[in-house]
Amino acid sequence: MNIKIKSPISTAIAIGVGIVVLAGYFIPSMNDIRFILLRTGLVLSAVALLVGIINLLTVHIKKLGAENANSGYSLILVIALLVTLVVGIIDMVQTYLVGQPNFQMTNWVFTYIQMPIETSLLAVTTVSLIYAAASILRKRMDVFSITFFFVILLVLLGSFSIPPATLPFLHVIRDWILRVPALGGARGLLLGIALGTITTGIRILLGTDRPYSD
Amino acid sequence: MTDILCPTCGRPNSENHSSCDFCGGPLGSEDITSVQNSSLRDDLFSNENPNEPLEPRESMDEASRLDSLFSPDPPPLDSQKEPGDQPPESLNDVSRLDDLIPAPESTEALPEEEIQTGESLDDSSLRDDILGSDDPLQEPKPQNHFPLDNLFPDDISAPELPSQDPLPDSPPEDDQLQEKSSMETPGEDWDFLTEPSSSSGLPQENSPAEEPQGDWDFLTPDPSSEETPPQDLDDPIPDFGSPGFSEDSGWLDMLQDPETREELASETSSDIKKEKNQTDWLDKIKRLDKSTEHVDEDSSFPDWLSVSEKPAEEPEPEPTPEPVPEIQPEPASSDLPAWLQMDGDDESLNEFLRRKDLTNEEYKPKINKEPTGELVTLEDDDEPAADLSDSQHIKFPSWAGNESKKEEIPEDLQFLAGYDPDSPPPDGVDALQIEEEEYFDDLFNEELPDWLTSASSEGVIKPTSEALSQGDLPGWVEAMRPVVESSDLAEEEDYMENYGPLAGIPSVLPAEAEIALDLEKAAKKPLDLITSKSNQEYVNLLKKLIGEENKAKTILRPAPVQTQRVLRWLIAIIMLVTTAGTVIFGGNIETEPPTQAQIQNTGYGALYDQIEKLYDSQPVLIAFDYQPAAAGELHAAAAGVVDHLMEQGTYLSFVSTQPTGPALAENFLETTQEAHRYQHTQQYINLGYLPGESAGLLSFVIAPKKIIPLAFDGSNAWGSPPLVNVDSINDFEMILVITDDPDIAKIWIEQVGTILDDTPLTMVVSAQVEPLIQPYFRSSPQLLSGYVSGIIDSMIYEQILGRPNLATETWLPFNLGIVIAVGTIFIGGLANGVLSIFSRHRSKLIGDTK
Repeated sequence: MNIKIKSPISTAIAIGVGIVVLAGYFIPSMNDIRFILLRTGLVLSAVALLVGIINLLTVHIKKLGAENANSGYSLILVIALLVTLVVGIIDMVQTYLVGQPNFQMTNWVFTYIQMPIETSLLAVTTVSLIYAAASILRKRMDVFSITFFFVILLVLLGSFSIPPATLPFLHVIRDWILRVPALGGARGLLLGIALGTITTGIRILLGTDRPYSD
Repeated sequence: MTDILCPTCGRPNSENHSSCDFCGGPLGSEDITSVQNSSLRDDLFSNENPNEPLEPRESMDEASRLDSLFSPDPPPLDSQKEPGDQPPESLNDVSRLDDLIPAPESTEALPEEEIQTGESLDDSSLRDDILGSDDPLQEPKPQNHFPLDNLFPDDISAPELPSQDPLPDSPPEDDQLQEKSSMETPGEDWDFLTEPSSSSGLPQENSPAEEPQGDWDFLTPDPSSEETPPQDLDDPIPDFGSPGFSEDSGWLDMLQDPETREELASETSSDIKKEKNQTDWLDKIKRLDKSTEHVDEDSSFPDWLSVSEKPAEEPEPEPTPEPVPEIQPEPASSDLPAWLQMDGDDESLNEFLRRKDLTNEEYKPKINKEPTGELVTLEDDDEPAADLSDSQHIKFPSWAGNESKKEEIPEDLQFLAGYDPDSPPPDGVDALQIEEEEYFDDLFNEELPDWLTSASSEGVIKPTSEALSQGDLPGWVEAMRPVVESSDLAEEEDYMENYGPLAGIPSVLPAEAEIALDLEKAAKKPLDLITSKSNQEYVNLLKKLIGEENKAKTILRPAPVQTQRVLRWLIAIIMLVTTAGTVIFGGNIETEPPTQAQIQNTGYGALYDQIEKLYDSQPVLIAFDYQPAAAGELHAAAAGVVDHLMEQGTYLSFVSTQPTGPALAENFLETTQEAHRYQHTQQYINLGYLPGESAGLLSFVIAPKKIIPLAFDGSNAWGSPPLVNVDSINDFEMILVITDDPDIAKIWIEQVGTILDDTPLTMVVSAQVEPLIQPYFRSSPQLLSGYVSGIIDSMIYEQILGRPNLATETWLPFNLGIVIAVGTIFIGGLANGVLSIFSRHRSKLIGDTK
């Protein structure tokens, strides 16, 4: 017999915890309860990270096989994960055994493998953005495209600051764009985010939204 | 010795019997039905004279009013023998019996007694019911024809009758005197009806021997009836003496056999006999309504009135010992004395009148259910009179038919049927009306003068029921029978498909329409299609489209986008060469420090001021919440700030909500702050990763020691002297968040900045985050105490600090990169814009050419 008690229980837990944490902002005596709940959530988040790593490893191990054309990438991922894990464990063991922080191997992996890769990806993004900005008038030439095009140019030129070629009025224009239109747009965006957050919180407290359910 | 016909069964009985030997019913007893029927006829034939007083009429007996209808102007025998003399000018519809009512002018010629009698006989209220107006020529209003109900309500009681019907107790020898007294006091004419028991003192079962035999003498042509002695005065049944009858009933005397009438005329009739004669003809009427066998036995009718061909001299049937069937008395008449109880004839007549009345719901369905059968029965009854003329076949006057038709709906419910009482009666005549007309014509057709009968025959509709035989349905009725539909269904179910995939399967829908089009006929139909020019164009276009469907089209292969790929490679090469060249071969660019005015109200200026307030060994919390991809920008942006903090000698505590944060912190110190040689747990502590994002951060704000008890390397995180006194986030002297994510910056500001009391919250962010953190910095209260955004602010910060760092080192390649990016975007955008314009123009030209 399939009795679906999961959804009501999870909903009750979510609503109860949310109400207690929210009440902790206004009732000082409930800070202890709120802290217990937050600390429990903190532990669960760390466990969830480990569960995510295990799930990633499991999925890519299943993809290893001759049938899958992309099995090579999965193999690289599994190897990299295991190597990094082993390096980290060695550094941890070494640190606890020696009593001196020693994360040389981990720092080497991070400095010479992870950071260059991610930085290179960001650099490629820069080239792609420049190309997109250059071709925007080709794909669509209207008022908004032209405005977007020239705003990019003005902000970039206002960031340029080589003394012989510095144009003060470009700095003023850049500062004006950042403080007036960009600031106004950012405020509106933040207000919208705040209202959306409040609405989402209320919906979760009322049980209307159940992001924790299936 | 004369025989008395039983009013119940119609069989003759000896005159010394007070009850019928055959049916046990009282002989000669005037029941309530006779009064009822006579009153009905009074209603029907009443002549109204508006100038006449009403009191004598009201005192008149109900049953005698029918006779009074004809008494005011009794047609003389001669005139009846010579019909056609001077028909009334005002007669519109001679077929209506109400036209028989003599005009008021004719009443003037009557004797005064007659007029008074006639006036006294009229019941003004009932007369109004019939005539409906003072105009004698006006047709009676149908809504007023409910005489039976009016006369015999349910609560009718016997004590009311004696006042109206004083029983004549005078001997027969005093007929003339009695007649005169009855005319003077008409209310006493029907005393025998009102006080039967008191006057006669004989109940029904005890009085048959005392029944007057002379009551029915005119109906029995037996000569012995002439010798009938005077009736017993105590006899409740009045003597139906012919003279009296002829005087009162007028033309109804014609109903009698001439011989009998002469014999009866020789007899001196008493007032009682006269009264009885007034109801005598009613008995005849009642017999007409009897069943066939009863009519056959009634030999007292003349030939023209008899409904059977049995001779009057036919021997009387032997009295049957059968028990007399009990007649269910009416509830209203159950309290009446025995002599007023309805006999068989009365029952039949009453039934007939009830059909007319239709107030009794029991008769209504019978009439509706078996109309045809009744018609057939009537035809059988009328067979002896088949040799009569067409006018004699007219059984029912049209006005009576209309009445009966209208009376099908009770008066109380007529308004529901949308019946307008003031509206004239409809002209249609139904079968039931014709049926009832037959009854009445049996009664009156002979009495009508020739001019009247001949005239009435013209406007009478011949009954269609004669043409119909029993059981034969008209064609249209046959067509409506549901049997036809069921047979069709059976045929459809038996249909079997002959071809196609369903061939051989029964009960399927036919593949072809059952009603096929007549192609020849359709082909002959001319086409009247008129097409306009636009329609023709559409036709041509449709033909063209259909024709092009069969043609193969050659799809041109699109030109390869080599130019785009080249442009992309060109941009990449330029960026790499310039930045790499400047990094390799470039150097620092000497820039002028910003003025004090430029520093004011800026994020980096505020941050600088906050750091300047710190001093040695004050705990500062630094959050490394950025991804390794943004390390190039944020390392350069945060290097000058962290350097400033180290210069101030603060104790740095690193924490990160990102898993890679602790490693980035270590890398940052190694790459940017190597000159300070900060030692772990001595100058700084790496608290490691703080899971839970906002929840973890909130927990860390409340109790940092409980959330992160150990450092990144497993050592005691809070054992250092600067951190011993730190129990909450407010115990830190400053909080610096390094992030490239606007959401993380917002979480820090909203979750931590709102809790902080005096601890400033500052940030070093990527250039893309600056627009989102500016509102918190430029708001009041200020949730963000200062910030540095990107390389530009960091370079300015280093200039303010006076200690060039990584931002200063990357300034030239950064500016060259900006120039290259701007140049590329501008040139590329301009070229693409021009090409786009030309392309559109060319496309437009090609379109116009085509």
